[in-house]
Amino acid sequence: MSSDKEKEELIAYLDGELPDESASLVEKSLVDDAAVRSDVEQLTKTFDLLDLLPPAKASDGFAEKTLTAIRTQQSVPHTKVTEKPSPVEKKQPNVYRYAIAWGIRVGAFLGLMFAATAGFNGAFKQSSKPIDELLTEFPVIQRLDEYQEIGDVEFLKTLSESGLFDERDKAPQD
Amino acid sequence: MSSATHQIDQIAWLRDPDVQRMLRVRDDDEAAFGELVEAYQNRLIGIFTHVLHDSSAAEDLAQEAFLRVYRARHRYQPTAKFATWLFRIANNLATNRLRSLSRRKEVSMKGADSGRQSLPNPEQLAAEKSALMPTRQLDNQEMREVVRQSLDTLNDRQRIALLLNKFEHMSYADIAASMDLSVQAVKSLLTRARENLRIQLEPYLTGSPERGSN
Repeated sequence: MSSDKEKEELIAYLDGELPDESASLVEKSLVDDAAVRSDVEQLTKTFDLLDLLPPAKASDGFAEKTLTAIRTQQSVPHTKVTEKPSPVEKKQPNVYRYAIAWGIRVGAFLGLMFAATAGFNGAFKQSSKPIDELLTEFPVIQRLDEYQEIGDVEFLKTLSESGLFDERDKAPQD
Repeated sequence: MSSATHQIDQIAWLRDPDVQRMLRVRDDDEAAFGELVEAYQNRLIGIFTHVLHDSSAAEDLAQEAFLRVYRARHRYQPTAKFATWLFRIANNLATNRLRSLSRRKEVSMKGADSGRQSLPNPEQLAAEKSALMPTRQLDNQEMREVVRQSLDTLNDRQRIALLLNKFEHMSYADIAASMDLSVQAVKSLLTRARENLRIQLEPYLTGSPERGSN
């Protein structure tokens, strides 16, 4: 074989890809030229050697694994792939979808209101606790300076038992 | 192409039983898809194995090809043989995988031996052949290995085109459609592939052992 074009024509002839006219030209060169015949023989034999390559075989369960993979990827039940839903069944998902969407909205609103109320009550209770304590202890606070001057709780109790404070409390009423 | 011609072509492809199956798959018939997987699994895995040299990766890629077919089922139009469409998907997957492997190799190794790099280049192969050939005929196992190594000396596109030509018996037009090439480009690609294969294997042909000892 000399040129690339001639090689292409020869191989295309072997593959049955040449139109009749070009095939006739190749056949003529095969008759006339021993070198072309030798080329054809070698190309055919080397191509046939590819038959020695071992045939590939899928592992057991390959088809089933592939079908499982498509079911997984589809993320729908297997029955939905093969069975067509009726027109009525087709409409139902929309109604459900609206009901679920509104349910979620109402639930979210109620949840938000509950959380706001609970938060307000908690905050109010926490903030009112010191005030309650102040109100309860108000009489003590009023007399704190006096109590501090006395300095001793036992002495204060003795004075209280002697009725000193009762007289003092009654004084304004007189 | 006129619409009348297009319709005639579509009717012609409808005779392909696998196109019929694929049309059932388009209508969500999972059993038809199972039939296609059974029919093509070994053929796809065979091509991927020869391209990737890794049977496990070949199975993964074959499964991905089938998944792509299934995902695209609703858009399927019978404009060619089913095999042509399937092997076009397979070619895209194989090309992307080879590109990604090549990139990874460049980044991680820069010349270290791994995977396909462990295969001999043509000069190495010639040296091995010279060592093997002088006095005896190779047995089938040895010859199979020589053929495998010879196939690996082809570039990726030559190898894919040759495998489709040899094992899928695809016409040049179908190979062109599968590989997104022109028919003329396929013709040239196959010529180079066959010629390279001949150069590699000629010394092993019965009746010409003396050539290999040179």
